[in-house]
Amino acid sequence: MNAVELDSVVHRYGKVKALDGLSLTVRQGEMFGFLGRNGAGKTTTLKMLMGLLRPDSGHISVLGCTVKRMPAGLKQRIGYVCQEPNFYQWMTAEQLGAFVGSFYPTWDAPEFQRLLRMLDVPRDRRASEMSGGTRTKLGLALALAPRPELLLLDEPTAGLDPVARREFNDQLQVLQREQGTTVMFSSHLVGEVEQLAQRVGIVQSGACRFEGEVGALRTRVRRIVADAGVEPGEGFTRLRGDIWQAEPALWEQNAWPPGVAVEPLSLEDIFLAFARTDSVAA
Amino acid sequence: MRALLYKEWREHRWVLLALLVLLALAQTVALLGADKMGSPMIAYQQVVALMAPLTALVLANRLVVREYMGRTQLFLETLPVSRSQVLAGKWLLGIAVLLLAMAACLGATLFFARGQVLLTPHYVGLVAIRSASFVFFCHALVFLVGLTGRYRYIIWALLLLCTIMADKTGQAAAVNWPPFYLVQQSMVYEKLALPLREVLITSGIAAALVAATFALALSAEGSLVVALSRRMRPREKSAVTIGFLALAMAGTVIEARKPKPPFELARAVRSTAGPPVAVGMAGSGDAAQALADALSSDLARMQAFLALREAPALTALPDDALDGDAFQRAALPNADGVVVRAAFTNSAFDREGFRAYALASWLQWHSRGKAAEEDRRWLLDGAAQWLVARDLPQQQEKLALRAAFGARLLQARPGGARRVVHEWLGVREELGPCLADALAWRMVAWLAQDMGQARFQALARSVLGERPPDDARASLFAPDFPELLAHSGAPDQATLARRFHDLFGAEDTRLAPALDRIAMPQASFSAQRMAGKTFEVHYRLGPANEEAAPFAVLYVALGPWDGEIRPEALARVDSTRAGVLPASFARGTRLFTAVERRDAMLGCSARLAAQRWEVK
Repeated sequence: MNAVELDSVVHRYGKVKALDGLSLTVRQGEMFGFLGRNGAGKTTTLKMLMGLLRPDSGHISVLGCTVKRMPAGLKQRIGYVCQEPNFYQWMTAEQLGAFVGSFYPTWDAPEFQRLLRMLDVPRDRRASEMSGGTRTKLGLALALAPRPELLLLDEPTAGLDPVARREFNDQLQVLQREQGTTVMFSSHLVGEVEQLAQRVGIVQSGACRFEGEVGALRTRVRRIVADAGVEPGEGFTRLRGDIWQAEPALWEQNAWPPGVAVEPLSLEDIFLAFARTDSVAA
Repeated sequence: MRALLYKEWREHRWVLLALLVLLALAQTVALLGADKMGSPMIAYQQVVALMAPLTALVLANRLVVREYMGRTQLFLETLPVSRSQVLAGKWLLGIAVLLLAMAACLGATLFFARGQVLLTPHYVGLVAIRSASFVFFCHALVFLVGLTGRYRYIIWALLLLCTIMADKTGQAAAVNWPPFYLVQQSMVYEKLALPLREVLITSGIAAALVAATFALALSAEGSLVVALSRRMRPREKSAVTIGFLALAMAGTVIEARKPKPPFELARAVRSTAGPPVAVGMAGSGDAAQALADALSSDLARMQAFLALREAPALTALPDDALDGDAFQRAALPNADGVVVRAAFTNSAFDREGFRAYALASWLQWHSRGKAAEEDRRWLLDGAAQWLVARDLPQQQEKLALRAAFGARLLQARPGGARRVVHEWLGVREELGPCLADALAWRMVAWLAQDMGQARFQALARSVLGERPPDDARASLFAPDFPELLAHSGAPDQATLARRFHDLFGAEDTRLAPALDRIAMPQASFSAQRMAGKTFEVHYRLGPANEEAAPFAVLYVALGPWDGEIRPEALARVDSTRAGVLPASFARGTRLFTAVERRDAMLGCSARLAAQRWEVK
């Protein structure tokens, strides 16, 4: 069973089309990286999965349930950490745990305490006195303590410095391994996605340009280096300049003329190629 | 839901407690003052009418505005609880706190009122239903407006503006609109019937507001309220400020431009030799015609002297209830022109005094009240008398004697006669209109002589002859009186005060033989405590237990911001001996009292012992 399924989802903010037929699948138990530029539609997608927004058209399924109006029971199975958690400033981490925990029958108070210790979040400090990084870690602890089946993270490390980001990501990996939770996280930092995600989805202008494993992505998208212009033939799609996309087998089987070299690309180059092209992946 | 309510309690408990303490204080103060108000139930009525909207406003601000403006509702929405549950929880908590607080106030009032008021279950039920409906309405309104985020101040301002406009122009006063009617004093005194129509309308409006609240909060997945709760951008703030200023300016300009029909008097003789004058028929038609002609001639002379561009119609109405030397000006909310009243047929009718009064009223209309401001009012009063008496030597003699007597009375008071320039309204209040007008005439006549015809005319034109625009520009751009004095080459105010003082001294010496013959008995007022907490006011003129010449006692209870006292506001008691005012007063009441005594030599009434004081 897939943890998340989106099929041809469209959502508009007034006249602006935020999602334009987005289709995506996140498998159970995997860590899925959701890549895209600012304004590509990542946050809108995650908000829809949390039931905070409703699609204008299309179909969404979360943990096997079709989402129209998100029932509280389904919401209790999902953890959500947003970019800038808007906690009550007057509450301490402890008080926030007590407050949030009362909404979840599966809330694991000892686990919450353990997470606070592990993530190095001071229990008695008010949210107003915490740094951005500590607030994000607190958000993660609050999201994980009810032992959710699906964890949605919306650019959780956006406001963190490199050291804090590395710590957060390491701990996320540990927690995901320990609890076997399905994690879908959005980011525009390619290195982070490369480090964490087993599969990625690249979203551009509200539509998914690529979905698959990171390794597969590398074998699909390559650069063709030649003195003169080369047209590789049927099955190849130009993403941008000399960067092309094709099935892995086609790359191997194609008879390349002398003077032509095929080079692998870093994930960042591939992301940039997707982000700046208008062609849609096959 | 319990977690949400607990969270609200933890977040707002101190504000809630402070609010409840404030409410308890208000209730206590109102109950302590219940004796003066007539019934302890009035204390409850006043607390509901004033404190329920205030408490609802604070609660909505804490429960709604703070949540949305602080964006913490975004955090709440990520939890497994629906928006409608969150909203309903807040709404119910707010109304529960309000109803409980009002119930506590009602309980305290009933406890206090037992034995003093007949408290039947039916009556208590009526009071409870009326106040609960009002509280329901207040809470529903402030909750909805609270959801409009950054626009809530604009909406409040517009609501207030619309209410004031509707109150001024509509058929029914705002206090009688269904929600407000429920907490009027009728709540205290209506013990049998429930104003069902008002209760149903109020509850209906409140229910509609609740529906609108939920529609607004849940529409577009709550994004509309989130968008509204963002802080105003500088450009938006500027637009709102400019919009409001433009609206206010447009309002005053439109109001000023709105033409009013002229005041029409059916049974009147008219004179159109100068500006139109109508005099109501009383006594012989010839006398009325002569008065109309004299008034019209006065207006024409004044118009020419001051080069006035506009000349409203003047109407003089007969009013036999007035004394011969008492004149009044009518307020005309729906008509244009100047209407003055006097007792034309009274044997003691002061014809020249009335002509000057009509002239001064006419100039007040022309200057839109500007000429009646305290620093220049003496010039207005004096110029009117001066113009009327200019060719009447006998009238001048009469005025000179009155002025000298007025100055003598003034000298005996703290501050002396130097107050005439800076505190003219106080001087006028102490001396009464007759002596004050004469004093003003003396000052203006001297000034006209001292400055010369041309310069005095220039001063009079700049101070009395300008018709300012009837909007904000009048107060923004009008030069002040010292500037006008300087510009026309007149002495400054300090010099004027000194010169007038010298002038009064010289006049006192010149007219001393006549002045000494005018009796000036001592008048006094005192407050004496009655049974309970009220006071009665005793007055006396001359020695105790001795009959004096007829005199009138004038009195009025003053509000905290009362300025000039209108003549028609004064209550009057005619007497010949010491007595007690026919009213009782609570401790702390501010009173104006005076004795007015007609003197044959002066030919009018002079005020004695005029003062503002506090009953204690």
